[in-house]
Amino acid sequence: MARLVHGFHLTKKRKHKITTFFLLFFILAIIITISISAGDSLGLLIQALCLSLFRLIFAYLISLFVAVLIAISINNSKLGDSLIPIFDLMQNLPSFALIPLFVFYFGYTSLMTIIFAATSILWPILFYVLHALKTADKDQENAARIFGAHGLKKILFFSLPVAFPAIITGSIVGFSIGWEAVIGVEIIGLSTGIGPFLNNDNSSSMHNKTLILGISALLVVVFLINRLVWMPLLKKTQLYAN
Amino acid sequence: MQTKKTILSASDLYYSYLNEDTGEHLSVLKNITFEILEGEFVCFVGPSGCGKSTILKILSGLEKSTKGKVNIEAKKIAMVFQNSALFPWLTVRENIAFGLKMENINKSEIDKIVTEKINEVGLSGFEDKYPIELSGGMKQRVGIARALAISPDLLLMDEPFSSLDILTAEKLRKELLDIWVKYKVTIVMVTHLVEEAVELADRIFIFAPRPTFIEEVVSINLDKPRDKRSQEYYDQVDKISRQIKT
Ligand SMILES: Nc1ncnc2c1ncn2[C@@H]1O[C@H](COP(=O)(O)OP(=O)(O)O)[C@@H](O)[C@H]1O
Ligand SMILES: [Mg+2]
Repeated sequence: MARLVHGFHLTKKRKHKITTFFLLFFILAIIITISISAGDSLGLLIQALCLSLFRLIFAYLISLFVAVLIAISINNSKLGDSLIPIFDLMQNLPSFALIPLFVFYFGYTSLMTIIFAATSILWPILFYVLHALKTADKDQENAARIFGAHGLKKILFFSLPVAFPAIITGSIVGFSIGWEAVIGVEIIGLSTGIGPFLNNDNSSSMHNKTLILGISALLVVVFLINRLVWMPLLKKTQLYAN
Repeated sequence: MQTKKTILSASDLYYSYLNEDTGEHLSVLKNITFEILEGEFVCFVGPSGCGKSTILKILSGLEKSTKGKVNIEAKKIAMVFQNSALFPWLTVRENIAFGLKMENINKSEIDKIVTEKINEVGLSGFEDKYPIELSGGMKQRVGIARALAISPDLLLMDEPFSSLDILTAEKLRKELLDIWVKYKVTIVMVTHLVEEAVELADRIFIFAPRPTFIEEVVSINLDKPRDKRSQEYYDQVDKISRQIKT
């Protein structure tokens, strides 16, 4: 998050913008050149990347839904407060330690990758959102109640908007954790996705090309998601400042 | 003069809260009893921290009294807050529409009412601005419009003009009087400015330091709008200022 926000200010400058896009263009050129010289690997690459991205997005959407649901429930009940220390403890567990457990139940499958990634994306979103709800302006909350926002209406028209900036920052952090989780599991035990694409162990010059190709492509995708999805959303949250 | 209905009454209200750090029960309200009539303009004055906002919260149902009873005949209660408490993610128009939207009123009806309120409180041209883009006075206009939009018969105001500059506050007080006359709405306003209370109120409740109770009720029988340079006005302000204990 800090890195991203920092980058956000840096890239606001026109010169940096031009340089960034020149770099991006350069990387794309490398990808195309290598993939032409390496036969059909562009098709394989895109397929692998799409599959990983699909797993990640799926995991992210599950985490987003579950994290926001848990945060709102905890915030709305006195009992929920006692769960916070438990969650706080759980989030400290290095997530890769849980891989064997997930493998035991689901094997090395897409489903396992998605569920495993979801459990690591969950925490930042949950804690950012919970913090936002707990520190919400008391008078704004009172106003919402006085003007008739109760139950589901309060969640839709007060809690969610209040949590929106936290949802975005939590998502940015969670999404990058999610990339690590997905690629990690893929490299360890899966045969499809960008992980195995990078890990392909033909010890040949062909493999070096594939590696450069994979990393470059990943860089482009992560960069574009930041630029086209998270930055505009992050910009929108500035409006929510009191 | 015909006898007016009671719109709001409280009998023997007590309120205390648990200080989580010390484990002590702190008493805020003790033995608060009053009646407010339909169409009345009542001001609460008293030392800061005595419990005035707490009473408004109990009257509006945001908070429950520890003991005692509140009887509300009002059908619809609206509130205006000191720091306006607008929703920062909504435009002026959307903020004003909030209460109507919660009542599931249809969109064209909402638009009509909101446009009417925008013109009435002098917000034309600011419809699509966000709260962050507005001055304190403009925000408070939005807060008042948001309250009026639901056609309340009881309007609770917690130090609505306290954080505004003198000129803006002066202007808004005049406009509030016009609104009070036009809508015949009952207003209960908390203020720490005695001048403000004497300018606006039919009756002023003077509250004691915490744990608070009503020390005295003063009726101000001067015609509105009041001449703030008249001897009577000055005498009332002087008399009440002396009565407030800090
Ligand atoms: N639930 C609560 N928790 C902590 N303090 C409270 C609570 N309710 C009231 N108080 C305290 O009660 C006192 C009265 O508050 P308030 O009604 O806001 O006073 P006023 O509006 O007259 O300035 C204050 O000292 C406030 O800190
Ligand atoms: Mg107060």
